[in-house]
Amino acid sequence: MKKALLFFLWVLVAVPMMAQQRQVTGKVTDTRDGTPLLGVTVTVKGARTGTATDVDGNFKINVNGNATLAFSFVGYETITMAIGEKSHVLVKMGPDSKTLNQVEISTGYGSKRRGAITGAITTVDGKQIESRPQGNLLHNLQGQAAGTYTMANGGRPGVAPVILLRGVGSINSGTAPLFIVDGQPVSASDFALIAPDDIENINILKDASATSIYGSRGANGVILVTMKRGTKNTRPQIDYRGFYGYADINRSKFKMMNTKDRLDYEVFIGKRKADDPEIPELMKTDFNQSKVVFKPSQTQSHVLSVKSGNETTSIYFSGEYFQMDGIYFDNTFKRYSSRLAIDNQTTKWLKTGVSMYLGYMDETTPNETRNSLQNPGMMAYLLMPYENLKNPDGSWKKMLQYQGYNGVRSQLWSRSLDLIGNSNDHLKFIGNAYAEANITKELKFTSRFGMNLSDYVTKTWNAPELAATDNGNATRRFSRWSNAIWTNLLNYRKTFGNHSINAVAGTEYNALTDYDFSTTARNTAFPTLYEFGAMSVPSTSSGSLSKYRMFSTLASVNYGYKDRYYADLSIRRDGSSKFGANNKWGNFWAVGLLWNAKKENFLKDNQLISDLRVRASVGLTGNDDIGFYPSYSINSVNNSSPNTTTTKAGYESKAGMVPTQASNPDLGWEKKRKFNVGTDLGLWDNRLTFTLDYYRELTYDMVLDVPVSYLTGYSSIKANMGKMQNNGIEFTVKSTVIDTKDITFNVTGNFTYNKNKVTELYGFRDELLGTGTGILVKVGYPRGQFKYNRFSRVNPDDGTEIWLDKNGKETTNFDGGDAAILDGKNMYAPYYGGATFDFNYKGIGIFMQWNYMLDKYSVNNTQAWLVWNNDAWYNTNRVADLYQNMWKKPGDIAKYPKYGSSTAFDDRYVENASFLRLRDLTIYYNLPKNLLSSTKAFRSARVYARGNNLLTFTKWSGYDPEYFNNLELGIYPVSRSYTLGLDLTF
Amino acid sequence: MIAINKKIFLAAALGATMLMSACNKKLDQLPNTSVSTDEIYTSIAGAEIAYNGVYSTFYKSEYYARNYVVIPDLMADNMIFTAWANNVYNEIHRWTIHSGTYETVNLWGTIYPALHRCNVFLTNIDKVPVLSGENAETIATRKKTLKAHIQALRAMFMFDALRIYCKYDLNDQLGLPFVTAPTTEIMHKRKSVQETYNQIVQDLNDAAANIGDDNVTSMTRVNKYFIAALQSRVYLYFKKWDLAIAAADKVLSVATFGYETTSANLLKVWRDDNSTKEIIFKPAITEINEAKYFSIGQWLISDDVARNKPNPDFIAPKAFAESFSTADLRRAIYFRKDSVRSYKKDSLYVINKYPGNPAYAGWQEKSNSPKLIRYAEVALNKMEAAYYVDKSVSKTLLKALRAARIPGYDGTIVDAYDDVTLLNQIREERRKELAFEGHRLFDLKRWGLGFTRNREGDYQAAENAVGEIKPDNYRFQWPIPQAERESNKLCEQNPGYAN
Repeated sequence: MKKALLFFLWVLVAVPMMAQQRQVTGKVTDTRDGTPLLGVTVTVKGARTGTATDVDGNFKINVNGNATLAFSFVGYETITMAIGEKSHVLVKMGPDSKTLNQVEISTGYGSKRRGAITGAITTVDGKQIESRPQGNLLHNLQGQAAGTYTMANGGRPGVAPVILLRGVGSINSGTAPLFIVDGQPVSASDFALIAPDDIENINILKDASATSIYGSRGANGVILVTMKRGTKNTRPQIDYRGFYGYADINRSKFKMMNTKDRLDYEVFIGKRKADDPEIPELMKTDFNQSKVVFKPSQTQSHVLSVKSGNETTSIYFSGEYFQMDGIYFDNTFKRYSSRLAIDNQTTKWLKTGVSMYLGYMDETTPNETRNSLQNPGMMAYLLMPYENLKNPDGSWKKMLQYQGYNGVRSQLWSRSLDLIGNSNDHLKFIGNAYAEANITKELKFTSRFGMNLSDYVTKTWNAPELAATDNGNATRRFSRWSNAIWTNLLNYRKTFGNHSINAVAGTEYNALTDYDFSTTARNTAFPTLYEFGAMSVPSTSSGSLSKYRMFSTLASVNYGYKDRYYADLSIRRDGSSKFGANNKWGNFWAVGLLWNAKKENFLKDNQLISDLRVRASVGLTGNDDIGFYPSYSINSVNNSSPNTTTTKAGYESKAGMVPTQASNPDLGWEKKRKFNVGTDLGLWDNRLTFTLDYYRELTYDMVLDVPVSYLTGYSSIKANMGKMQNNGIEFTVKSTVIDTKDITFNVTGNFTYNKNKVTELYGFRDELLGTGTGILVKVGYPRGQFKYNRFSRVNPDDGTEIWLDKNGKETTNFDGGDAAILDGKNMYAPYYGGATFDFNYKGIGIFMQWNYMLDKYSVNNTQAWLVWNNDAWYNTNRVADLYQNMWKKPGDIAKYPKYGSSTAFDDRYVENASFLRLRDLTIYYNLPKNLLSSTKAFRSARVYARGNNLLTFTKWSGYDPEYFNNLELGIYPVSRSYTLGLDLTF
Repeated sequence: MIAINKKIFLAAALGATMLMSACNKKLDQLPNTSVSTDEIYTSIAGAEIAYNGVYSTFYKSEYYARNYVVIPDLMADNMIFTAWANNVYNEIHRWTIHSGTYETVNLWGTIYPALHRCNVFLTNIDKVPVLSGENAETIATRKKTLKAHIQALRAMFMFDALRIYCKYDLNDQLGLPFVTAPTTEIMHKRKSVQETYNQIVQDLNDAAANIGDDNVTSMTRVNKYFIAALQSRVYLYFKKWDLAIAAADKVLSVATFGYETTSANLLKVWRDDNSTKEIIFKPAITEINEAKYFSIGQWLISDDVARNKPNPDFIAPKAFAESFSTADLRRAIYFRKDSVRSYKKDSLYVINKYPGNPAYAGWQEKSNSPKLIRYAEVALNKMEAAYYVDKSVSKTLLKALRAARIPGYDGTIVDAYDDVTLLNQIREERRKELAFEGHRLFDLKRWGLGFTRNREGDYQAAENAVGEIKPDNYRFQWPIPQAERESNKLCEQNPGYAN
């Protein structure tokens, strides 16, 4: 104490005495675009003095004489500058390839330096997904990251796409990765309520080293989303991001009959007389009904966010309005969301904070029943070209409900008048509060409590005009889903000598509760009232409550030696309420190794190679996504025996229960063993980087529905059986091709090859229960294998269809037993990837994002519905070339069979759905800084025009090849959109 | 910031972490809308709930709530497939049924789980304890009665499976695979027809011995008449004439049973599901349970709430409908002559045996309960069995039936029948009386008769199965569904089927 006081006195006295002290001011900007850099550390060489740049990149520092200043900033090359006599300096800093490996990457329970990570982790920056017209932001991952298979599940705004990391990882359990937002598990559909602009970055964790710390939920990989937060000591910054535009249908390749073709067809098949007096009248109209049924829809988004921070507290908050109407005439989607994050340095050793996310979504949903003619996607094809659906005033005509397929048309009228409808609203809260205490300099304790809460309300109603018996009815379903998670972690981080340790140990408790109820009422007081208060007869109600609890302990350590050799060890023990009494607990682990070759002496000074790392990992993860109570003996009130309809198990209004599930106390975790080797290579100061990974993943002890004799009372029971492998290669390249003052050109690309194979099922049976024709799951074949009868030709003699039997001989008999495995035709594309190009000249730029999938197949069931040529389908319009190419007389070599043919389903409808798509084309202009600074208001501004899905190259003949299902039947197609946007920073 | 003491904070946080480790018992989460089998049988009240669960089998549309009632008629010659019908039942009607046909999988998938439920019940019922406050004797009696119910139902379900999957030949080896206690074995061989028959007879005898007078006035639960009537049916199928007669007599000798003899009263049987004289057993299908959505009448008539014309998939053959004389009370009740929505040229015979009970709020759904066991059937069972024992008894029964159905019927016509005519007339009367009640196919099979469907007109589906089905057609025995044989490799397929 005494010493310190003396020192203080010395400073007070001595410093002013030192010669030639003066102030130097300056500004630090980014070499790439001249934007000011905030938070750059400025130090005087040989002195203790230091400061940091402010939000405009300006700094002030006191120096003595001809000092040398050092400028350092994470991710940027450190610059030392002898300033001589200058009192004002301008400094430009560029990204530093050498320090890129110092960037901290969040790995879930702690962050690690990029250069120390032994696992396969891909980072997608928030900028890569923001400001896109997508209701569910996960769509924006399409083609952005190697190993990430993203496939739309229909084009309705907000619908979550299917995401698979490294192939489809399970047969019967969930295949979705674990989504974590700021430490909180969420589901893919939750992203319909999260504003993309609030996302800082997304880390995609793939191999064992990265995922086994997530134990029983890590098998399908982990998508770790980090949300934006404020930064200490920053000037307040306000950002506005907005766009406005519209979406329209991607026109399909189907051409339907026009009026003339249609009438010729009707006459030929004898349904209309050639001299029918109606014909001239009908010929006056010729509608392309898909143009009538679909509407271009409006989309807009406005986000305001504020970032600010002082010495102790930093804050981020934002508000968003997003609207995207669907292209189906009665589909709307709106979202309002807000986020708040506060971090506070409460005491010297204690940091606390909260973050809260509140989202509200409101949508009206169309009839999307895939195998229904009432679905607008299907209806657009099937309506007659000579039929005018609208009244002169533009409203939909009211058409009879009970004639043939006319119910289809009545929905245009009834839904546009709200006589029938569905709507949902969804309120979402995601939040957490944490306290972080530094016990010692190296040891930190964090306790975080998080909550993910969702309230869903689903409404449907039918006006008395459509539900005469009930005199109007309405159904409302409420469900609340809550997932609380409490995480306690000890993080230890220390470097001593050649050794570095980054370790974490902790516990986690997860409590998920899901409940719902729904009620129906009927007999409305007034035809336009659908609320229960106006309904006099409550009719049905139902509900459920399900709970899932998990308790875990986890530990992981990352050990480094001389910055060259790293080893990662992780272990997690999970106990889950889902599993059988004998199998509640499971252990998961991983070992990862990294060799940072660049740090070796022989590469240290190599000018060409700026980064070279080799990684390998192996480990075990689990999959618990099999429902709430898969292992219990269940007697339920639902009388659902296998394959049959469900009725209530009571009798004569008396309560009854029936056994519906046999107990299996041995039921345990589905496991996945993962192996990965990878390398990262950087050349020319990382202007060109490559990442290459090879992986082998084996899913085993799968939770399958094992077929059993019905004498057991069931058709199947759940048991751990079977094996499936996913082996593949991932490749990513990033390059700054041109980087001059005026021109920059960046290119990125990624490619994935995944080979899936089922290697074992039940032992006594090599085909999965319930799969035969159509989609097949069979030992030796990949998941998603197609199997269909093979069509040969139309018989020229009589116009009937001829197939090939199982031996390849022609047969006129369509027999399911002749179905053949269609080698190489699979619903999961084994090859996929994407590429981006970003070219900028003096602030004007063009950005393109492409993605592709190869060897993807799908069944065009819609096509089948459009070419079937018989009485059952006569009431609906048919494809344009049917009349021309159908068999008409003996001797015709025809594409389509004669009128009155069967509706056999065969390999004619299995089509190649591979595609290459221009997902995003953006032309933008970053307004020049000098122009902006003269306004004194804007710090940066950017305007852009963006088109999504403008080009698609595919052989697929339907609306859209991008659809996750083995068959496409009346899907809600993914739309094409055009938007104009503006980003402003104040 | 003195208030926050680092040590206290850390101690509290670590303490809380420790507490969390105590959460392990949270991992035992039980479902909230279901219970385990062990829990069910901890009280007689629980057992009653399981007992009702077994009865709920009657609500399955794959079984008695629809399919099992209509299929034996539409597979035979009592119904014809219309030109506008959708594909439901088409493989059955056209006699192209195979091991993957929905209806065989669905029937198997309903009956076997139902048998399993019976087995679970019969295995566990004796474990039910007497709780404090309960009378041990009452509980024991109740258990005995409940057992009788479940045994009778097990016999019924098993006999129904036997009727459709097996030959009625006690020397045939291909009976049903079955167990009498819950099993977890994946593979089971078929037992012989004799063994299956023995099990059915055994269950019925046990049930008859224990049922007492339980539910004796109920039409919706098992009682002693249900059991006797079912016995007469089982014995008739296996040509045990004396046993069939003896069993039938237990019903026929009861004074409260008999025929409704007026049109109005007969209509009550069919429309109002209400006749204590004629109905012995009907499932409790009313407007309040879900079975109505699969209602037989809705499907057979299919006129909707807007009072459109009917739109049935199947109609009655003209010749069959017109074989009922105009004086026959049944003609106007069983059929509705009307033009249909998709065919307005002519009036057709729409099957009207399930017209919808107006007492039910949702009667537009055409909700009726099928009359699974009726006085008339028992009489017809005896009539046919007696033909091989004492033909005069048959004649008396035939005269009584016709006198009830056809006002003013001249009984001397029956007296004049020779033996061959008498047998044919008994069979013809059985076809007419029990039409659309799920007997025709089994009766033809019993009698070793085929049938011929004739082409009637363009309202009949063009690709309809018209023509002859010979008595030796292998499809008289339905195929064991593929779904069973996929895992149960020991279960032999019926001859004739490819797989």
